[in-house]
Amino acid sequence: MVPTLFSDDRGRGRAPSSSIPGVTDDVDPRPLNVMIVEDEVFVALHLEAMVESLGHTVAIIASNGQAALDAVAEAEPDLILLDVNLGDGLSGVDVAERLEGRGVRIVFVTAYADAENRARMTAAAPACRILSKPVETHSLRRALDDVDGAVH
Amino acid sequence: MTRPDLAPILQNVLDAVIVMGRDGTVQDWNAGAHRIFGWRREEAINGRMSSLIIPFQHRAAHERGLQHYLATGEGPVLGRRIEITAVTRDGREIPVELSIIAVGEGDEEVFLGFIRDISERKAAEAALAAEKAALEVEVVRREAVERHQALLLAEMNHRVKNMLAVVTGLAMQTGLNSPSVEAFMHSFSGRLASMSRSYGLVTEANWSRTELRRLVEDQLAAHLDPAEGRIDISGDPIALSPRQALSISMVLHELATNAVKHGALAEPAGRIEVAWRRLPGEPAQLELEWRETGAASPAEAVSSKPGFGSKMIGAVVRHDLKGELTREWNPSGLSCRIVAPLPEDTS
Repeated sequence: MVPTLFSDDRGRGRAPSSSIPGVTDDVDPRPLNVMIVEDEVFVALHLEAMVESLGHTVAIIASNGQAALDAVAEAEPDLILLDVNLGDGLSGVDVAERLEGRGVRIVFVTAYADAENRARMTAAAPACRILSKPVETHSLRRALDDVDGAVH
Repeated sequence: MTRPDLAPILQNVLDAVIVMGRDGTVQDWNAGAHRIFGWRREEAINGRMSSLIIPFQHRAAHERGLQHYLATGEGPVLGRRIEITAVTRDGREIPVELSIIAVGEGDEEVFLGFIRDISERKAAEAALAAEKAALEVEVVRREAVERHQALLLAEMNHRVKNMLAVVTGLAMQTGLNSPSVEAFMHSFSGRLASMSRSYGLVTEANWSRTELRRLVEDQLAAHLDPAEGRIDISGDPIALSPRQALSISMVLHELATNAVKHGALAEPAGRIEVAWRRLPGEPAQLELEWRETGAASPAEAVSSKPGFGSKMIGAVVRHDLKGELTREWNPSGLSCRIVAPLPEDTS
């Protein structure tokens, strides 16, 4: 079992809730297993709450690129919500490059969504989606729905 | 109508007009030549041209050129306008424009030199060139400044978006864990104010290393007047990275808020001790201890469900600081110990 930010019981999944503004109860019946890679704790927690409110499961939250790569094998995520600027060490783009061919869908979540950085992200993960920070629930829902359709 | 004689006219034109014979001596020297070179006509006539106005370093070449012309009839400088330097009576070397023509034949042949002092024009050209070079440097500098400004703006845009994402997350988490709008407003504004203060300190340190003591003093001063003497702060000098500084500030804010609500700072006799030290190792680690004494009802704190603030402390320590957190509710109050890796150059 992978440890989590607030508790040690991540991985069981939990009942979807509609406590996030803008999220209705029509959650997806086929939950995705999501990994969050984000170095800002509040952004990570917010993404986690949004993902779970949309009816999906957060397998693990990693705060840096190396931790994310180390955890992928155990967590076996369908999708990674991947921050680009992860402070020191590997960037989100580096992580995406190293995961190429592993069948994990990448959704970049970044403040660096200008054309130049978009090109870098797309080069690293051609099938990626890119969400601009701060993320709105409907954008996240659309990105997850797209991946959900492709995965299931 | 009588055709005017050129000779007296040439005597008075502004340029220097010099007549040189085949033997290299001056045969005539007009007023312009006097004005430019300083030699009077009677001083110049019969003097060697090369000694009068040719700079020392060019004299041998001048003599060789004259001999070559006399021997072969080839004079590459004849009939052309060239720019060279000439020397004046007082030894100044000045830029001049020179044209030479050969007039007459055989032994009667003489060389007519027309010389214009172009010092002012050259100085103006040099000034213009210097100005142009300075302008080019300025253009390059401004382009660099503009590029730098564009980079800063882009970076600011990224940071603002990141910060908005953090604030959104903070608002959501605070909101989801607040029993009322009033409680949300109180907690959220306190957390924002704490973040704002720690950003101030990190910016003051030029986003380099920030002293832990300053963070501790700053966060605690927001909750309790240090003059009351209820807080004891001690520890090694430890400089933190900006990220660590912001995270530790957040932890200190939550600990202090909890102490004010339920812990030592809720009681007049309550005290807080904050102590830290560097633990040697690779990497070195920070050990920070927060000890409350004189809390009224620590048993109550133990039995009650940990609030969002307490959970947040754990999340920040694990996620942001990559550290470990241990908490104990002793009879005298809360004790909290954080151990987290330090950046390499914090000594």
